[in-house]
Amino acid sequence: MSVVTIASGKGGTGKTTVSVNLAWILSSLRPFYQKTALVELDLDLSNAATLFGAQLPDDTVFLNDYIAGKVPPEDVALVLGNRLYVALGRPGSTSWFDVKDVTHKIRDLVNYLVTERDVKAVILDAPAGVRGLLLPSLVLADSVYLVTSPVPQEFSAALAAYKMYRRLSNETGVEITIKGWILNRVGAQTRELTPRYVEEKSSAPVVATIRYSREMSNAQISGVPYAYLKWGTDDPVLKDFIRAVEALFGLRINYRPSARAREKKPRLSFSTLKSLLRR
Amino acid sequence: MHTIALPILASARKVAEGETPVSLFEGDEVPVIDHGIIEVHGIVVPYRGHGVVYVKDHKPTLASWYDATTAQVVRGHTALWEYVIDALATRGNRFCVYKLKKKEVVRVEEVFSQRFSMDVRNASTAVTPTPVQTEKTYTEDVFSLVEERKFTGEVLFQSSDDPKVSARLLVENGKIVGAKLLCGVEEAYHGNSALSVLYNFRRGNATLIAKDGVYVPSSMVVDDEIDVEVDAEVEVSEEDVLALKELKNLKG
Repeated sequence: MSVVTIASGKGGTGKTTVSVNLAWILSSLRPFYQKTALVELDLDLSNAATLFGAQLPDDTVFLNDYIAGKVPPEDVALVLGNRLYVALGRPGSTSWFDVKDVTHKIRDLVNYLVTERDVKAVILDAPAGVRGLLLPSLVLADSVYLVTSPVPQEFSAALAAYKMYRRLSNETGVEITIKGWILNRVGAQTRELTPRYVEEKSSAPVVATIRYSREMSNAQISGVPYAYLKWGTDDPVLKDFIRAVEALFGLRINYRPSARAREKKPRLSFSTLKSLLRR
Repeated sequence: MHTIALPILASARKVAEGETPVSLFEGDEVPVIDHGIIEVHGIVVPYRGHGVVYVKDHKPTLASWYDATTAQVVRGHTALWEYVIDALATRGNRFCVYKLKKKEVVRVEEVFSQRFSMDVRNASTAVTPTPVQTEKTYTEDVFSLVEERKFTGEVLFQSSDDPKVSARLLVENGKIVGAKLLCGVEEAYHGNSALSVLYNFRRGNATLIAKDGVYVPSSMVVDDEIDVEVDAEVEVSEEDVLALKELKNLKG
């Protein structure tokens, strides 16, 4: 079992998009078929719910309610295709949360998913920047990856976050394992940083790069993960996401585009875990 | 000047008589040809013009490009790498493929090379000094390979992670100073972006051509001199430090 945190220096770098797509791919790939959980820790600025859009059931229970102690873990997890468990923050929430309380609750949720639901990989979608609610995703993760666009302004914020994590780790003795960078939206700008530059400035490796695609926003408007939309095709950005899964989870994936793969992908409709258990 | 390309195409049509020319448009797959000519009609700026590539034994052997904007003709290596391939990869441009029979190859090659173009290998001398050493190798990491060899010259790379991905790297003393990456005919990346995309496809076959120096076209320049401002001292809040210390026992 591995717990991976996807973090970034500022909002809008595509952190949630990356998390959602990695989680979907990991839970869909043969022969691995890893039971995967995506936990969105961006409790007050949640947007994963927006990315899944209209696919969410009307009676969706959000992570905010679980942390507030209103519901048990099985009520908060949504299930897609029997292999992807999703716990989402409530969009537009203004609730205040205690960092320690959130950490304990998320740890309990992860333990429940691992022990009771046999989840093999957990992706924690961290809040942007250096806010207090970031701490649970740093404490609970086996490895942390930072997402940034390879442009100076965004990398500047991401580098500040990277340095802060290192400093927090040094001052507290808590091991925060920053495994490397995911460069997102490569090719969108004319003046981009090179991976080598990013590595030299931070002494952490670039582990994956994901190209820019205009179609990404179409997928978001449709309320489906981009990887789902392009599954079974020869799409270059989908292949970048698959490479990222390989790099982050140490897998070797033999992905072959085919009409069969397009037809066989699971339907994108969520059920609440509670309703599945009741059945 | 622009008539230069036309006799070549006329020759190609003549020798291809009896065969149906294949016209391709954007989104189509490029056919693999043993022997023949690819004719490119550049419509989209900055690739307005005409070009031809002569293919022999699956390899581009001769090339020429007429740039309609500057009314100049470029030949051989420069025509192939700086114009024709980019024009092929640019949406909106059109191209035709004329397959030739093997016995017809010699004649076309003679016409092509004597009158209108230079052999690609010879043409490279117009751009850079004569290659001194060529080496082919398989590598798990093309970036490490380039750095370790500390050589100056050119790397032609074909990824094994994705057969659609190929790259041309210009190297000075083990440092990549120019880059271009192609993903089939639909996508091309230049300079810094090309290196970022190549990070995902770094395994494959590399041909290293050592040279005395390299000429880097402006579109391919790799720029590592971009400044990123970050405060030397990043502040962490005392509150976060205390909270994290208390959570220490949850780690693992």
